[in-house]
Amino acid sequence: MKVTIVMRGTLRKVYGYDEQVVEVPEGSTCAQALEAIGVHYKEEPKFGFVSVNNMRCMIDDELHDGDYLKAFSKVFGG
Amino acid sequence: MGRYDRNIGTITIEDQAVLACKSVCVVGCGGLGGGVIENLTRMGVGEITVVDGDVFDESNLNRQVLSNEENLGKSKAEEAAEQMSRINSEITFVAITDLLNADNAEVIIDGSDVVVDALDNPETRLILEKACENLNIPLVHGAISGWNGQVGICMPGSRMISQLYGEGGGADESPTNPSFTPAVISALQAAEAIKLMLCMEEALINKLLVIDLLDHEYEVIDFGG
Repeated sequence: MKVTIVMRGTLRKVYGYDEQVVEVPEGSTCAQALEAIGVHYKEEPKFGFVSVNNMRCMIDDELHDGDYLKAFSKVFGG
Repeated sequence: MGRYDRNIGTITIEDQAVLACKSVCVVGCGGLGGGVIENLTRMGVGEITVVDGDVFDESNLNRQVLSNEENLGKSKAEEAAEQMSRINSEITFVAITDLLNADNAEVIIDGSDVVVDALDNPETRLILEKACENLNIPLVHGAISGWNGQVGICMPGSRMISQLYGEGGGADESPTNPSFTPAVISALQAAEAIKLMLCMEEALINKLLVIDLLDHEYEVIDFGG
């Protein structure tokens, strides 16, 4: 299946692109899709959270064909 | 009503009277908190509790509107109450000079209609979210980092804060914060707090507005619930 991965905030600067369409196996999770493009969220200090089709979802949620996965940078200052 | 003449039209006279009866607790009196407190003061919220255990230092001067060269070393909470009293003496200000923690959180926010998260770290935010949930108080979240910011309303039970900060990687370095990002986000937090108190359906209930001021991207993520 194909999903579109969009990088937001600081992550875009870190990884050097806005978005890309990737082919991942059926049943892949958000984490697995990110891994497929070299984003290892657990080791990425700037990683914040993900959304799918503008709905907040968990990193281990399954993706579906045509989904838009957005990864946002961590924002915590005040 | 002279001082509120320019509010009327954006909100009604009745709304203005409602705000005068409301109580807001702002946790954090730094970059975000200073802006939130000033906006709520000028809008005429009846009681504002300001919470911060820290004092101003020189590194605050670039963005924290309550700081100045004369009050370095002074309590942020006490300075907030004192400065805002000079803007609007009709408002009751309560200054709490303790850092919020798991032991005092519920005591501090009890009785508030709305709590505003103007904190600077995920750990205390999680404590505040839990306290708000236990007391059934809505929480207006805001956070900033460089050109990026976010604001949203975490209703009790939504666990927005837990979802936001629960699965990230290791700790990042301290974020850089210019003057304009907290100015934007704190104004939005104040607006959302006002909407909540006036029961306006346009409020960002369980939604997060994510802002990138560098690339002009503004999008709303639905957290459900």
